[in-house]
Amino acid sequence: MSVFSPALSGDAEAEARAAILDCPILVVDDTAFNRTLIGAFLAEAGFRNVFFAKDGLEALEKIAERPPDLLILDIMMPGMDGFEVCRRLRADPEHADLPILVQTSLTSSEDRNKAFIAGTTDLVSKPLDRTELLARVRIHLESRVLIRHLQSYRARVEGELAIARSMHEHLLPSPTLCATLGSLAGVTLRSHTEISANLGGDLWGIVPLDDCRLGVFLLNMSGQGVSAAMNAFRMHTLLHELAVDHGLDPAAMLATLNERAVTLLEEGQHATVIYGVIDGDAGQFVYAAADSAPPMLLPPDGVEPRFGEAGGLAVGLAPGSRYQTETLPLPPGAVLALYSVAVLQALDAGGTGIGLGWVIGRAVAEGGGADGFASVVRSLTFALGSTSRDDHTLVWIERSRP
Amino acid sequence: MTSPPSILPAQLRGALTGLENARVLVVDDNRINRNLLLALLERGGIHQVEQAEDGNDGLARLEMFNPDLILLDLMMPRLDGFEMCKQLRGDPRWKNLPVLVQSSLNRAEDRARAFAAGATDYVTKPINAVELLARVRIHLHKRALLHDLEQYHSRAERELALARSMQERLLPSPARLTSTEDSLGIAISAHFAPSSELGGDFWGKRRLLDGRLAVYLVDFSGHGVGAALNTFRLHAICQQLAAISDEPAAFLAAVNKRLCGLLPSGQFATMLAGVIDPTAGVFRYASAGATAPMVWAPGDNAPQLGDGVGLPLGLLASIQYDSRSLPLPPGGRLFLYSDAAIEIPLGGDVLDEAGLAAMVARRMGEEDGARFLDGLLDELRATGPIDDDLTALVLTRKR
Repeated sequence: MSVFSPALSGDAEAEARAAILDCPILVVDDTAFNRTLIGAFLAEAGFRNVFFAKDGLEALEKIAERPPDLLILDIMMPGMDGFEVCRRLRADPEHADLPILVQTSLTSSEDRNKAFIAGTTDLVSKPLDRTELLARVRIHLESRVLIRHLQSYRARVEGELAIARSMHEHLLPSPTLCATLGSLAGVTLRSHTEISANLGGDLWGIVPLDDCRLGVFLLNMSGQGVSAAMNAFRMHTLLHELAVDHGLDPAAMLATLNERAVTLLEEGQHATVIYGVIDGDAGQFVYAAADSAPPMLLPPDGVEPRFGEAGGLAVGLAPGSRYQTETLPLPPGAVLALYSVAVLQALDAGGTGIGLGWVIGRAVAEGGGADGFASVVRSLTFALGSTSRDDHTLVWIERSRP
Repeated sequence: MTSPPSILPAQLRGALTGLENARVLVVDDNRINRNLLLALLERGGIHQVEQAEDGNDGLARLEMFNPDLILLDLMMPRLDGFEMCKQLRGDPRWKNLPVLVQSSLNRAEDRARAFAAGATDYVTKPINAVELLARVRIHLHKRALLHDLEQYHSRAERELALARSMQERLLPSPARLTSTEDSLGIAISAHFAPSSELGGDFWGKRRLLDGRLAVYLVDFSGHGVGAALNTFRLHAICQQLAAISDEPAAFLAAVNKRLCGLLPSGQFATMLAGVIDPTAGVFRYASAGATAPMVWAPGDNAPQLGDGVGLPLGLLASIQYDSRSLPLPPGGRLFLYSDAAIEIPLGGDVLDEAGLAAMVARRMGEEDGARFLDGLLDELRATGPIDDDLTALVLTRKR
């Protein structure tokens, strides 16, 4: 609240004004004269969808049959009075939002209080004034139609995003794939990925190369939301395509990816990427980085994390970018961590020496494995909070001990 | 004025929580009234309250304070409440700001005048504390809800518009179509209309050696963001495969193999890939469950339908596709379309391929491709609602 919100376009409001004339309105009054009078006021103003009930019980029946968008309710009625109708409707979640316009000759403040406590939205006093009645009816219906329009828009978009998000999840390597490919290269792969409900451009993946080698990539698209996800999807496709020819040569892989990205991406869009080959036989990680977060290597004792170089230019920025092949040793028991920048920032407790390296180092020193990884993820979740809208990824590659 | 009740009804206390960030501007020339309203709002859990002593003061403070609701007196010196209300409604920023009038004027015409000036609500003095707080709460809740929904709406709209422009840029630009026409003598008119902001349709073309032109049209299952994501990866695949195969059936098989590894189960795509070979005067194509391509030559009185039968992409990695061909002599025309064009409801049935072919036959005399397409689309839209992504291409060999 209090943050200035730009009004909706004039079109949406004009539409809402026209649409209210079709909204069903139920008029409840025990006096035939009043029903006729209110009906005439509404008809004259162009409302096409007015129906009537002559007491509380009949009103509830009609509402159950056909929920109105507005109820114009008399209070003093034989049998079930207006207070009771209000209370019953408000007790039903389906009608919690129904605007109830109570027409009353009650002037005592106690009765007015009673009406509001029973759940009335608004009061109009008897004898009814045409202008006032119509002003109240319009204001409640317009806001209801506007809210409904916005709610259905939101429901549709959220539905579309939910499908897209599940496709994004489907792109990530499954635990089975991690186990199968990891064992070939003599490593255990664990990962933690958080995808924003609004989608995003974080993605990691693995590419089978040969009997003992495995390609791993982690990319983060600039921008956010749907457009970042679209770009992440095509980068994912390209990485898999390019791996066929360049999978064993990380620098060539990124240089080729960059050439494609430069032609595909729009101005201002780019991706930070790290791509590397895990070589189980040689016990090393050979990689190239395009402005990614630096890969972190924890020796088996967990002491002194070592950060690899990660200096290249982001992919998609300029044609002809070249990338450097770097090598990190990966001795048995060591852990290699690849992660998005959000992870590094989240765990950075400025100046205390406590950071991602310290957290992972401690987990590795305590024996690593599934428990170690789980404890790192717990720290991360704690640091980012449950409300973080940023995507983030942490990939943990642990070289098996002989 | 009644004094504020010492204890609010439990229902209202509960309902007022969550409003502690709400900002209320009280405009009243009487200091005692302002203080009473302040105390009342305070008791209702609303602490951010600003005061103004007349309409001019109110308008000035509006800018600084940016309230969520105004409590407005009517009878004030200098600028009264009616006039202040009218003036603030003239500013689009305050068009939807709730203005709750509190006044001792209680004649029907005063109320009518206040509503005509743009008041949202009206309570009469002496102030009834419970009623006033109930109304304040209703307006603030509605405003918070609207604010939230509007923010979602404008953010989503911005994002989807950006994504939409990216999707449009996947398709050949008008400049590229002109260059194809100039160099190959093949004119292309295209129509692309997703059913919402984004869609699962996609088409492309590529110049081959010897003056031939490759063209393809894809329709992913579903629509919206998810289907659009698939068009982006298919675009990447098609670009990558461009160098590998000119032959439609082999091209389709290669695309299929890749999509099988990418698509979650339940998703698939239909695709028609073909090559216009001017030297041989034929359109060679392969189809993965696409709609039947149509061709005709000058002087024909009905289009010739090709065969769209074939397993859609993404279902079975090992599938092979048949190579088929249709005649396409100089002056001949090829028409490709997504299935939205043949699934338009028509009576109890749909407009099927035969129905579309008959529609095409009636318009075959139109020499200009763009006008042919526009006329056909108008007729399709007049036939019934089109609730899927619709893409249509007309390729004309110049004589």
